[in-house]
Amino acid sequence: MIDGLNPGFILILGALLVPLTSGFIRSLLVLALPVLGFAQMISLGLGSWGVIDMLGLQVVLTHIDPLSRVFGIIFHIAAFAALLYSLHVKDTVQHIATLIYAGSAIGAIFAGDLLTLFVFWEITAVSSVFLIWASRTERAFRSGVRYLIIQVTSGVILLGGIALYVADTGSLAFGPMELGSFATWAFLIAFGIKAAFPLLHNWVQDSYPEATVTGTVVLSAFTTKLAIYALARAFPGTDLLIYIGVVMVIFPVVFATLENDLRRTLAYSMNSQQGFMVIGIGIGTEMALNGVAAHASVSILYTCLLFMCTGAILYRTGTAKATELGSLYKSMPLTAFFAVIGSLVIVAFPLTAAFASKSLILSASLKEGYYFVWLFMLFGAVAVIDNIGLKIPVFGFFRRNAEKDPAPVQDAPAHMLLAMALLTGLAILAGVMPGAFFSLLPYDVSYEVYTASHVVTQLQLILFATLAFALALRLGVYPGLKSAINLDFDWFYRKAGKSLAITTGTLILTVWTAFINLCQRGVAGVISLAVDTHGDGKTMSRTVSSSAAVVAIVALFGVILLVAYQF
Amino acid sequence: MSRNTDKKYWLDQPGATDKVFRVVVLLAILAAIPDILALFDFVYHKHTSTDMEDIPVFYGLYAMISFLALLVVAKTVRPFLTRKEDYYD
Repeated sequence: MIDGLNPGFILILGALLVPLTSGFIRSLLVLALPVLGFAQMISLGLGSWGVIDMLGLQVVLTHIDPLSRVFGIIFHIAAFAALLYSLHVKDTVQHIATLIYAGSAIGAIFAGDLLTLFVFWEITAVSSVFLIWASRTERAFRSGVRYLIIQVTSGVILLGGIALYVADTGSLAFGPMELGSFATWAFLIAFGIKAAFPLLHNWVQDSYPEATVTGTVVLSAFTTKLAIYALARAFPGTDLLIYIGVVMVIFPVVFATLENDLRRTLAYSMNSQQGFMVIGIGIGTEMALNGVAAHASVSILYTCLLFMCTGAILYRTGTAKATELGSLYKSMPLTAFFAVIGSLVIVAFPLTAAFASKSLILSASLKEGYYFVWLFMLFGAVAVIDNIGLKIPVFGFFRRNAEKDPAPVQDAPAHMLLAMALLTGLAILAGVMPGAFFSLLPYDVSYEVYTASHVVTQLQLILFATLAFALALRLGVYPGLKSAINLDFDWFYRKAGKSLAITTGTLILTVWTAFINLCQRGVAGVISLAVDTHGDGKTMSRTVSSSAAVVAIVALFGVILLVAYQF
Repeated sequence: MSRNTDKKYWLDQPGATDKVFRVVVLLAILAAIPDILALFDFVYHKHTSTDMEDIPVFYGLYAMISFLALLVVAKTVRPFLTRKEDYYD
């Protein structure tokens, strides 16, 4: 392979060939590119390439270390699976956007310095918005604009941080940092926006459900996990992240419980899972960071898988709203099967990948004595069992619709099912062979996944949560799903901010109009006064004979003479 | 897809959901058994990191309590948050 070429470039440059192809050749091309990228990454091994001196600053185009390699592997897998899932799409824009987006995310993972990171960071923002706009609805367009504003803001803050960081340290090196200077805070906020920190999170739930069937699968894999990688590289062991992470685990699950749109439910739940990773970064021990890398990878597997299942529902029935679905297991049995497996993975059922990955972070928190944090994470684990693990299969596939089951549809197309099977297989494989899975992680940590105690406690957690869910449904206390939306923090900029802007605008307009009116009246007054005095036939414009003027002047001189003589 | 209307599905039978519920109860009880055994130091031994975990069936109880808390919070905030689907349009 080409020596030192960042694997991301293979996907980005390959995307430029897509418009020249069609049909089978295009399918072959888009599937080959992630495979080639993967091969390039493996053939490079570990190290740095493309080191350039620029105005005394060192730019490193490609840098692969054990931490970035884990993310690189899963990003290539996600890109391949997502492209396989979207083979039926005839829209060239979506294929190009997917490839450039995935390629720039991979490029960012393997960026050896802050400037290279920034460039790829911005390309991910600009390329991914086309996956939202590709829905070609008014709503998707507006959502995409909001998404783009927020993503580009993250990039601008990152660039500002880089400028300050270079001024402080004279280096572009991207490594562990101490939170303290303006530069490092800027980095935290830039990464935090993309990681969907609490209050910076709404772009996820706003845009993902508006993207196309395949677009959401692609979107869910890269941006947020790229941010997790950046945080893990820059801020391991930063205490603040633990507390941010706790809020992040708790806050979105309430919304996930109430949400009717299954894709938005998943977006909220994914946000909560991000919280686990942020906590892991905050703890910052080798075990915790292994947990972060592992859970980020597994989270991509099950989130993509479940977005594929809900996407297939949307593709076949035209909706992903729980209230409009019913008994889909009858007509989409295979999709239902994969959704059930995906749910087992997300609830961290033994023998699935999340059982291994989540326990790393939980154990690391116990080991460091963060008992309350651990309790909050357990709460988050229970919430995801109910919000996704049970809600998606029950409300998406198995429950009968209270009014009338929708008309039967066909199961998902073969290539979609293949993509689901691929991710399912990997999620099970990593769970059955945690040793092999852990050998890919950045640090060498011995951890026994399958102890009797661990299996029993996890089964207790899952089965009692299931029991509680079943009881709540039977007793009719489960919050019934409604065709409605739930206000979140984005209300502040979509409603309050908007009306504030409109009110301010109206106020400025009123004041301005009044001011203009006042001025106009003033000018009009001056004019009419002038007309009164100097107008045609008025005092000041009246003409008199020159003899009268001479008499007046002589009289004036006479008075002056008298006065001057007198004194 | 007329075959779907002809085919009989187990879940459509009367009482099927009751059966599912009974299975869930049974499984939950089975998952609790090792903790009961551990009380008598029989076959199974707990490995705990915190005192909380010494409570029998701690994880099961915690799951139930967490779920209850989630439901209460969700139902409490719902009236304040719910709006019509076209609220932002």
